[in-house]
Amino acid sequence: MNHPSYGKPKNRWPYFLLTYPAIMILLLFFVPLCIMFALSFFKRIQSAFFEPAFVFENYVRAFSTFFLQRIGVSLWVAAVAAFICLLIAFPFTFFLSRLRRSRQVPYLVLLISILSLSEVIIAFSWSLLLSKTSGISNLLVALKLLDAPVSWAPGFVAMLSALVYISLPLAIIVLYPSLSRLDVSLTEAATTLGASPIVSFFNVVLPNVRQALLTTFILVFIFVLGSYLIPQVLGRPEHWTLPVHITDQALLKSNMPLAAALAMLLLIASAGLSLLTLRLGRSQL
Amino acid sequence: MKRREFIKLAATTGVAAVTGLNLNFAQERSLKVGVYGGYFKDSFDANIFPKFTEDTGIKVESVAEPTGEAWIVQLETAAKAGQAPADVSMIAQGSMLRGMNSGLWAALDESKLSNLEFVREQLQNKDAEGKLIGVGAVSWYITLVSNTDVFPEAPTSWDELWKDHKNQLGLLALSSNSYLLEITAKTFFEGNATLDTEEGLNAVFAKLAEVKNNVQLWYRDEGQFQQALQAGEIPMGQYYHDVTGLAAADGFPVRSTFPKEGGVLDSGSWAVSRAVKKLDEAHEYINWFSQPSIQDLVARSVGTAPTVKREFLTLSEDEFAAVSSDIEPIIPHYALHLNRGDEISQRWSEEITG
Amino acid sequence: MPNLIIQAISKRFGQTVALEDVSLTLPEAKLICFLGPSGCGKTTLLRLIAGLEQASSGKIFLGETELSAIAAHKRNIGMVFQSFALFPHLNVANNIAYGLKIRGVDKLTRLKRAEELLELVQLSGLGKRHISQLSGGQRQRIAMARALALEPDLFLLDEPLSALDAKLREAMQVELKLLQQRLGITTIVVTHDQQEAMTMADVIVVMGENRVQQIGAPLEIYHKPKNRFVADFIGSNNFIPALVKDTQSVSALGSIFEIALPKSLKVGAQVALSIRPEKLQLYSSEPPKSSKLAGTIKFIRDLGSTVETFVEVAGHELSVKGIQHLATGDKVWLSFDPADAVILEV
Repeated sequence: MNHPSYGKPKNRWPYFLLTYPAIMILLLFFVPLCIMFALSFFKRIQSAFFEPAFVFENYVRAFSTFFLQRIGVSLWVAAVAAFICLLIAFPFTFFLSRLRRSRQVPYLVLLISILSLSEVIIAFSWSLLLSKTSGISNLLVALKLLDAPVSWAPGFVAMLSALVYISLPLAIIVLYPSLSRLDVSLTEAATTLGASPIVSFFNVVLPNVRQALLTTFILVFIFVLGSYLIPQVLGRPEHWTLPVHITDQALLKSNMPLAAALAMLLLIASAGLSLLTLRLGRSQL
Repeated sequence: MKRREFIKLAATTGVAAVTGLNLNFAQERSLKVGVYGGYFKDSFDANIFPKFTEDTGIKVESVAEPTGEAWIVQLETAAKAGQAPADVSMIAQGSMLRGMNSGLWAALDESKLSNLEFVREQLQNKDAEGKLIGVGAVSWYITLVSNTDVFPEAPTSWDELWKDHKNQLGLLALSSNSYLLEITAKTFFEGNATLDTEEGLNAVFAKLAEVKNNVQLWYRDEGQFQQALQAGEIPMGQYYHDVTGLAAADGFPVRSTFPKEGGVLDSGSWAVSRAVKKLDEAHEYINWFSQPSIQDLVARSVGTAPTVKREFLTLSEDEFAAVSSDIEPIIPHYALHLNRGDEISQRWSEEITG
Repeated sequence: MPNLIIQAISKRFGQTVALEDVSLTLPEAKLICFLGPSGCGKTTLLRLIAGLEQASSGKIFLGETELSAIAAHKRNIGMVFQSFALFPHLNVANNIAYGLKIRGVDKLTRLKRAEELLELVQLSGLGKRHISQLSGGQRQRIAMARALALEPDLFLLDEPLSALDAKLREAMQVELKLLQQRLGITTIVVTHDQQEAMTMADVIVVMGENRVQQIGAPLEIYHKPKNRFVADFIGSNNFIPALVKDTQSVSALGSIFEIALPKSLKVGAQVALSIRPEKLQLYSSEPPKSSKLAGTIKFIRDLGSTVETFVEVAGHELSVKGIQHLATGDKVWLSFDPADAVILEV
């Protein structure tokens, strides 16, 4: 070919098409993150708004005992919720993936439809469900399992229940592909080699899905960490996570710089923990 | 719009588009008014704005404001770009002060507001130089509410919150919207003046911390508490006088009581961002809204307390009681929440809700 | 080692019947093939023996021991799965030694045994490899080594060679047979490939339509199919509609053939005369034989090692295999030795 433009594609379109996702990531993810980062160094003017500056006072406040405790509570709540979520999601998905395909579909559709419920609806449904006047404790009284109806919300268990409920479909949908890819004959092979069901679960099934479990744990952990409505509605003040306080600072106290600094702190804490967990998971394989 | 009018309008705008002329319809004056989304906006759209258009010929486009301070952050950001998402906005007192300090508000021309004389003095917002920047729009009371099934006897004082009601109270979650510091100061100390001294503030915080064990719910969402109050789940707390009255009228076993120390009177003002161009229409609207007859209409149809002195109103005894009270109200210490807000809210989180 | 006895086993999955009243006695120390088309229940039968399925009714014995009353993981059976089912998280040696580890054998002994087995399957020195680093043939051998590590009473293989390419498959057939002969262990191989079964098996169990159709040595199955199903499934066959004339002869396609008939057949019964294509001889002129048919060549197909000729006889098409020098349209004669023909009930 003697064409002068030999070696270069005549049509430049493919390159432009490639730039689209790059621009979108830049625009929708990187730019807002930079703005937030910059904002976290702005000077808060208590009686008005804020002005551009480069001060560390927001971080000084963010690193106060109070907010550090809130971060601790947030990480703890997210970890407990993610753990319980996995405890339920793993066996459920394991047995679901072993059902016939046609039987799996309705469950998956149901789960996806739960995903479409908003956090608001879930939070308020649970607060009703756990209330003294119209909640499930009345049912237990009717069944003579309880003497008098009790109020379970707000409280730690109420908040955890709703957090687990909202993240359960996510966990199942993330776990599902790797569990359905798990070859059934692996456990059968272990059986013929003398492994009881429990033994084969621990030394064949678990090692082969560990990475998937870890990934799911981190995903749910981060998902729960970002939740602010459920802790706010179903938790007592001592359970209010950092996002509840970030929302208060941003929306009710016009303190954008502090909200940004707290958000950066949460971002770094969760990213760091996730990386650490992944690293630990890999090294043991 | 009737079909013929539509064709006429389409034709004229078509001509305008073709000739490139920017036709200014003298008869098509309009105004964007921001009010809190939900119940407020719905009531204003149904009862207030149509009346204004009827009286003045100015069309109103209502804008739903988010609650909290998100709206004035938006106004401030827009003003920096020379934009205004609404021409006139209903603004809470804390936000009025915050906007004033950042120079957000346009000064209003008192000579264009002939009805200003009816509006209560304390509901006319002035800046440091004494210029008018806001005019009271609506007021509302936060009172002591209770479930009548659980408490057959109406409580009479805010000190009821301190009595033996373990896990029975629902209170607003923040220092800057519950005004519980002011309530405590009025009930047990010398009122807002107590909050101005360090010892006073410490004493108020210490006193307020005593209610912690009584509180079942520190709420941010009003619906959550209202539902629990109506059901008797959380049978007592602080809530809005007007909404409680409406719930009682609907047959729910709830009541709102003005304690002897007074209800908390909070209010919203009409304010105009410095970026607003339609100042004439804005003044016209604020002036129209300040008429006693319109305040009567607002009290009856929206259910908020009038911002006009009672002697100018035609409200009956019952109608007035439904939205207000003659007991001297507790006025929020807005300056405290604004100037020492970060410190107060931090202490609040640590000592009261923490 | 004792015989494997399968006693009136039935298996249903919901409404679907997988096995219907199967009874078998399988000899010890032999290589047995379960042969049949897909869905005939051969894999289900193997899984029942392994204990991976529970029978709906019936029992399985290994000598005096009732195997079906023992939990799967206590049966001491070595099994090779179609997918090989090697544990991806363990290396080759640990895969082979997995069963030993379960039984609490110490590490040194385990590794020694794994090396022995690697030698047995001719893969010495691969113990430290990862499963993902192995070829298909290597995986196959490791799977066999793992199944044999515990010196099982029974060695079961479910379609073990189906994942391999044709050439490797043929080599492995021979190798598997040699291995079985060396170890003298009762081995059952499930396959749908009749050539594979013919190559390896001492005993073939032909399965079809959820039951056992015939059990016997490969040549017996091939030459003396018990019924139409077996005759059809094993190799290719000509089926000629025939009528029983008397106890010694049948009439078919207008000719009379003298053939030994099963005593159960009544005179006048409709039967099928089954004859393999390679057992038919082709003549260009009438041969001096008693069992013969006249026809016309319709089609000739060269298969390389042989030639298949389709001959139309009285409206019926017969396949003949063997070298010939005729052309389409030629008038020909066919004959066969009556001893090669099988009369099947219709």
